[in-house]
Amino acid sequence: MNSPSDPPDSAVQPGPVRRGVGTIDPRTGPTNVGVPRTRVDGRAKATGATLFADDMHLPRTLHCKLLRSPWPYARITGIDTSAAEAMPGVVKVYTGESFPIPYGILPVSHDEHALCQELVRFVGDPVAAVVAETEEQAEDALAGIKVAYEVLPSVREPEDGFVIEGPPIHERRGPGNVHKAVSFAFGDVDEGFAEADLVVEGDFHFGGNTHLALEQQATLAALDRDGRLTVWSSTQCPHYLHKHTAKALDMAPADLRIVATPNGGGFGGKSDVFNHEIVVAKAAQELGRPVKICLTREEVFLCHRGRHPIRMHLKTGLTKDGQLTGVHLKTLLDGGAYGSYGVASTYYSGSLTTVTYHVPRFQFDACRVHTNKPPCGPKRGHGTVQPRFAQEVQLDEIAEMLGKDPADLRLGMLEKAGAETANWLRLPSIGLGTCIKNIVKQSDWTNLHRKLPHGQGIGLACSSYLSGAGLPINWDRLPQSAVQLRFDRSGLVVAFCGATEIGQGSDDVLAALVGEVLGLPAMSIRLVTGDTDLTPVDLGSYSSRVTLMMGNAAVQAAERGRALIADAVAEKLSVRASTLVFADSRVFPADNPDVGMSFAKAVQLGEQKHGTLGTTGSYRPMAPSARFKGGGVGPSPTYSYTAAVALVDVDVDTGFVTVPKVWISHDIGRALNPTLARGQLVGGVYMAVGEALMESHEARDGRPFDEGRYLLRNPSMLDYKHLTHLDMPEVITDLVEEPCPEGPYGAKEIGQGPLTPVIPAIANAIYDAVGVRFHEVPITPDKLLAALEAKAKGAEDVVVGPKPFPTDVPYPEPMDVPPPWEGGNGRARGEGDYAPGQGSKARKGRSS
Amino acid sequence: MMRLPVLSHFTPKTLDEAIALASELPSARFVAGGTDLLPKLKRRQLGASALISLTRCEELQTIKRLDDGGWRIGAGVKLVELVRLPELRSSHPAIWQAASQVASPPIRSSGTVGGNLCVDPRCFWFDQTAPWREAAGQCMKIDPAVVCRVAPNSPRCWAVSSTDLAPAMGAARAKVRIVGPAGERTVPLPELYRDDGIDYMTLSHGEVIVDVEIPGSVGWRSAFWKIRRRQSIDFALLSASVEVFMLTDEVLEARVGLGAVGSCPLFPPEVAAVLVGTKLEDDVIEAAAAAAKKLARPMETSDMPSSWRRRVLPVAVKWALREVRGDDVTDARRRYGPQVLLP
Ligand SMILES: Cc1cc2nc3c(=O)[nH]c(=O)nc-3n(C[C@H](O)[C@H](O)[C@H](O)COP(=O)(O)OP(=O)(O)OC[C@H]3O[C@@H](n4cnc5c(N)ncnc54)[C@H](O)[C@@H]3O)c2cc1C
Repeated sequence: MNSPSDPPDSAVQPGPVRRGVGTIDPRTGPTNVGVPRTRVDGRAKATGATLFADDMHLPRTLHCKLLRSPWPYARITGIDTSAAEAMPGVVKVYTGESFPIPYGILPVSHDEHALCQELVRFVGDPVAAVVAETEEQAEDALAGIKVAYEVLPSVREPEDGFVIEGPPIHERRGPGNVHKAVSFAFGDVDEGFAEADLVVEGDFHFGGNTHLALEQQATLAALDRDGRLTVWSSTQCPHYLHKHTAKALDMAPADLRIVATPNGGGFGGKSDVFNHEIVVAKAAQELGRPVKICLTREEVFLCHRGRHPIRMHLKTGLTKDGQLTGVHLKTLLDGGAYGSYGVASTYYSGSLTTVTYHVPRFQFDACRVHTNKPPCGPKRGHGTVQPRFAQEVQLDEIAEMLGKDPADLRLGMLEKAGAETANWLRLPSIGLGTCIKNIVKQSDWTNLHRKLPHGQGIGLACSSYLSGAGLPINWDRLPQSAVQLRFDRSGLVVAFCGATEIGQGSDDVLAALVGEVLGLPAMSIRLVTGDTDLTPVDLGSYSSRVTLMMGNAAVQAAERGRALIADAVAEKLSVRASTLVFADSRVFPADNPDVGMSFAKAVQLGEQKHGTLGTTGSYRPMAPSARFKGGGVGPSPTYSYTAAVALVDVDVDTGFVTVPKVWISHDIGRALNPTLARGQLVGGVYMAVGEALMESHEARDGRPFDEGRYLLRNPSMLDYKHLTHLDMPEVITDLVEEPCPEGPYGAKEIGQGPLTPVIPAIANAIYDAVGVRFHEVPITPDKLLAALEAKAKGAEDVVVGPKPFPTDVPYPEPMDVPPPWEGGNGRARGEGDYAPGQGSKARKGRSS
Repeated sequence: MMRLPVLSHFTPKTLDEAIALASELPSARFVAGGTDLLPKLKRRQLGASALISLTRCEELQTIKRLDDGGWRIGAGVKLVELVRLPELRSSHPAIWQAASQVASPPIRSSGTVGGNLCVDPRCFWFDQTAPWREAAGQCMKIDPAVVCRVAPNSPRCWAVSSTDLAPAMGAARAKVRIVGPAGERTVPLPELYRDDGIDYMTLSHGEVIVDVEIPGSVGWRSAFWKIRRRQSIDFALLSASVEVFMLTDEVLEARVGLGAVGSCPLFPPEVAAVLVGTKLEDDVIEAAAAAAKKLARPMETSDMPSSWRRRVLPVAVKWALREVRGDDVTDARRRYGPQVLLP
């Protein structure tokens, strides 16, 4: 970071910035940063003025409905669409034939087609599409499509997929239905266990759940007057939608425009490329009329891409004074029917295990298996929530075994800022110690833990999350976020950026940061976002990357603009540019405010001197230290940290758990808008309590007569249990602001991380309340009541958990990657000069 | 979004007109608030050619305090109106508690008393969309050719009675006035129901529930406990309503209503009998709870396993009895449903 009197680094740097930029001008204080503010898009959202995708309607719009498979796994032996085609209002019926080109969000798993080809792989897989004059006509015509199926034996649990009899769910993977299996040894973990005074092992299961964004996905596609195609869609990643729609429809990307409409919540559920988006895009292109689709709630449940159910085996060694000597984590992911982000999820199911506490040796084996269920993908905390649950519950057990306070145990083993972990992740800043100390104090932890009456309990847990994936999904050396600014003579500043508002506040961050540099209130900045025709690329709202990456790009662009304007104003006022300050929508010498001018006037001077004023900024993270194959998932410019304490009340007669209060402290680096930041904390707690106690995206069979039926059990808002307002705890939020050198003005992420520790904190609190350990979520009343009954009958150490972790998971031989302290260089032993994103070797067959 | 099928819609201004319309339209259905019926029509669980709205019929809108301290409550009265009656809350706490735990505030603003008494029994296999039911292989309630999925050997459907008002009003000795093509009749509330998940009511086509008469409650104490997954929106996993008549500290008469444990609300005399002549001592409460557990047969119709519902039924009975005994139940209320919180 630089002092504002010098020309800012990012203003002179020719290329993209790589590190955090932006400093508050000490002469004026902040304009937006750190000031609790109404979000820039708040008014429109509160009044209903925001236009979501389903609010959009064009003249002559046709409507589309998809016919979905009623079978979990079957071969399509015939489709007859003739009756449907003859039905009133029907314009076109599509089947898989029209969509031969596969796509998929990750380059390594292009395994989806807009409409199924030969196989249907889960109940809900789209088989055909009807386009009709009205939505009702399209819906009615679905009944006219006759599909003949040959039902195949379905694979229901990942452990059934190692060795299979029928055809694999996807060819060219394997063995069996295994999608991805990896294994890494960062040091010799057995040596670590041999050194340990205490070795603890446990099996865990984290049930699957879904995003439950309030807005159901909708898409509208239309040709413009030049015959180019525009697609408006509720997507978190317009850039990827652009790329993949162009691929799937075999068209030049430049002929396609994607506009991300404001998302009514995303949480990862709108980050994939979805069947319906490609279908309406093609229909609009072919039929020459606008075509629209809005999914039903049930369809949204079926599209899913939510939290993977993961079974885990976790083995941890420690010295008796509470230092970790080694951790061995095995995971088994139920991937559902398609790849989605699953390869990344596989790596994430272990890669962040090392970023909170110092782990000197770490072995990690992960395996994702296809099953005939809706595909899993990224949900808030992508892949890291599940292993963190296991780790934090096990630490609670360890604290008890060692006779240590769980907070002290964690404080004693914290990883240090500036460290590089066993798996080569760089940790520029760690505020976790402060987080733990703050919640311990605020919750009166020491006086409550193990001291509450039976039935009441308190638990603590911690976590960490990325501030943006260090590598892009498609490996290239291009900027990962960019901002373009246009300075109008009126004083208006328009910021253009591909970033996508999904409710997390990305618009607010963009406006606030541009305004901060230029001394303008956030509300005065006009934004154009998420539009592939108009805005420079930002990779999308995933991996908690927007505040840091877009933020750094925005500051660079604004500083470049400020430098141009300051130059012209300085000349006019005959002062040095470094004496000028930008504040209160004015530009003036710090020591003589009266001779200054309005920002508009300053822009005019700038335009007079330099011609039309426009600047750009872009950001690309530094290359990660991890250079082994698979090391691309986990590195991030920086990591956020969270600690949570939950208070629970267990009803011992029914097994109901209520959570009266949660304390949560988050290391955000710097809160750009504390109001929004606290909102993210409360939202994270909301989702976490639901995942801990009730949310469950699970399949059921067709009992009593199976007949190969297997479908999502509860695809409705009533049956997919999630918290209501009345179930919501009181939340005490705490923001730890220790600015991180990587983020804009020191900021780190807050959108995803805070969910994670609350789930194990609740499990730990339940143990404190009634002495029952939960090694699985959701913690439902029936499971808890059964455990309480077992305990009442004299059972000791009651653990509610999964059946033993399978011994036959086909993990490969571990890749041997020496940690930094064992003289490693970030590569696997014996691996060549491998570096992600460089050269053809890296691109071939690599997974992101 | 799921849409309603194309339907005719009538809004008669009088009860007679409504009944006459129903006689002319054999596949029409009455609709009041529509909160139960319309979602089921959208999911194509029920068929109907026409809807006859009862919302304009003045006859159904009464709320009248009777001379004996009881109430006449029109079938068209909205649940929110009951919730906003402090006099009902003090005279008949169980009915008030039941009304205030139905669904959620928006649903209580449209849902009516009559509609609540007629809620279609629910089941996991039935209360789903058409594509879901197709993928699941249907069930008896939608297709008589298929067996009951929760009890394949049973000749009948086991969908579960899900009305909250019925167990409370039944235990409070309510009588229901019905007017139909064949004239008017009044029946004790339990007689409205049949123990069958499909053919669950004794109303014949064209019969309208006009109002419910609830006798005065001098000397009676009551409480309603609903167990549900979340503290709003959810249907009962089971419920218990108790009414005891006690002039001193001895129970002279008692009634118990159990909801969501069978295809109709249950009013088991054998549970009530345990209470009579006692002072609601702890062991009496235990015995009554055990008696309730013995006769309730929850099936796998709901989002919690039937084994759990069976275990928890006595808990609801127990708390209801403790409440009428005069125990402080504030804490437990907070755990089970804080919106009924505390006077
Ligand atoms: C999400 C959700 C949650 C719910 N939770 C609960 C709950 O917790 N507890 C509960 O009890 N209910 C619940 N319900 C069901 C329903 O909302 C309420 O029971 C409500 O009171 C029904 O009243 P209504 O006027 O809307 O009925 P309608 O939907 O209008 O009618 C329901 C049925 O009653 C018949 N009917 C209505 N009035 C009369 C009359 N006067 N004479 C004869 N027949 C009549 C109709 O023909 C129809 O068959 C819930 C519904 C939803 C959608």
